[in-house]
Amino acid sequence: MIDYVEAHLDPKSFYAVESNREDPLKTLYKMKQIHEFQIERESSWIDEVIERSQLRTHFQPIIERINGGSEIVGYELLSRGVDQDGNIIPPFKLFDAARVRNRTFALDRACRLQAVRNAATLPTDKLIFINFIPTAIYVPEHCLATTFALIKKLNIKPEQVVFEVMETDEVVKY
Amino acid sequence: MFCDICQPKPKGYTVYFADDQDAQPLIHYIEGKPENTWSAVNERTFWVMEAILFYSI
Repeated sequence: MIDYVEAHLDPKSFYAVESNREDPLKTLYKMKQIHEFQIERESSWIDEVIERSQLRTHFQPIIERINGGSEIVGYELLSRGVDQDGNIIPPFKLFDAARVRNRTFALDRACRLQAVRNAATLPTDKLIFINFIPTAIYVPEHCLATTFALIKKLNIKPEQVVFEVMETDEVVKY
Repeated sequence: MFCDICQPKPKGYTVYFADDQDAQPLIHYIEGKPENTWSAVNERTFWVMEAILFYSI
């Protein structure tokens, strides 16, 4: 529809706003010209990445230096998206698209769960560092519950798991 | 239990066609879609699922 309007009509005469079917007029005051949805449309692929967990986990070793030697003490789990052709989607592109679509919470959750699934193959004597966006934890006891449940289901020892707060978002103090 | 944050729902939009344009092709396009993907608010305002708004007619 957006393409048709832009090609054949005056886009300034067509407006849209995100809304619920049950109350389609509730958000009417936020209406924007239809062409302003192009960025959101271009980012809509993120929904499929989240829905299908098209995510790959890279294991970055965390090394401790001991008496001149070194030992792997754990792995930081780094999430990358995978597009339909199997190409890697870099994290900045992944999270930019999620931000535009207001899907940051959902993407963070999908990354966390996929990371835990993939971590089940790691040695049980190593730590697992999982990043999360602190502002993506909407209701902590609920939002992390599914992550803890998966950790338990996969027989990963809770003492292996370290949640690492990402510093990209500012957390407001209450 | 899942909320929209955990499992994102498909988005929907209210679209409005100003009366200085011929919106008939767009209205026909919307009306040709499955009934569970759109609804008419009035003759120039419709609620549509995102796929109807974003993709080609």
